[in-house]
Amino acid sequence: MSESTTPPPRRSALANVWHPGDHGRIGFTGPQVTLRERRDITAIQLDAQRGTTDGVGKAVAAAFGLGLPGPGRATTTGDVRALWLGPDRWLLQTATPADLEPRLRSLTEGVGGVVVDQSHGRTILRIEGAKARDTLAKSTGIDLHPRAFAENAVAQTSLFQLAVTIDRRRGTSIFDVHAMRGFAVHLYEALLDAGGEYGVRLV
Amino acid sequence: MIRIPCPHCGPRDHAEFSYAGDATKIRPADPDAATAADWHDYVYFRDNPRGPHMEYWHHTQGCRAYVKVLRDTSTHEVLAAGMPGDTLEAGR
Repeated sequence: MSESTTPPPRRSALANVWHPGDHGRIGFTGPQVTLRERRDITAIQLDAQRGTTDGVGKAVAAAFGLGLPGPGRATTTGDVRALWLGPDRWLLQTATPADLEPRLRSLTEGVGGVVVDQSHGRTILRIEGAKARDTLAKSTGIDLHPRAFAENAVAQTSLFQLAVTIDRRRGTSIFDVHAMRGFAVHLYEALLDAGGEYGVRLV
Repeated sequence: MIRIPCPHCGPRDHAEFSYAGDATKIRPADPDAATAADWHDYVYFRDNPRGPHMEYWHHTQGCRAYVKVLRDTSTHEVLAAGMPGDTLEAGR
């Protein structure tokens, strides 16, 4: 058996259940919530071992021009976005993967960083529209109002009983919801159900 | 419901957390010198106080960090919360 170096093509966990179109109650103004899956996003988890946070942060800053964010925040430079996940832990994501993982590995492992590719294990849904916030607010305890959860705010919390990461993108009503791949169908169905009264457009 | 002020994430519902044990129990400093009775006490003996109780909670669905919480077992009021190494006093 020869070893293959190219990974198998990625397949969405929602491929069998995603039916593009309008769902739920559609009013005169059309669907108030738009849901799309952000596919082919590369997501790399970066941890700093105890006491190496500064060194890891400097290595990432020097290479990407990206400051690792503090608690509850995200930072973006070019095509790389870093989310705070917990103490000394971040998720770096990009739509143009190229060599993000090996680059991070060679940059940070020498100074105490631990790099794990989570791309295959996460499903990212983007929810936007006038009622996106109301849809999410139905099942999480955190305050999603822009006053408390502004642009580039990140929270790891519980949504429909799942552990998710909510990332508020630019604008006031665009959210990325990260969940573990195995729970993708549950999250999708729950969001569709919660947004039903506002009308949901699946893109 | 209990609201726990996670030192990393801010106030969160306790459903995001898992109870992780009694924080008043200290592991024997020198395992070789500890007697069977010391281990028995550390592993099995727990007080069941009515009133303030120091405990660990794991922020399972949040930042995945352990936090220390001083909780009143009769009212569920959270009197203080902090890092696992903190010494907590009621009222923060």
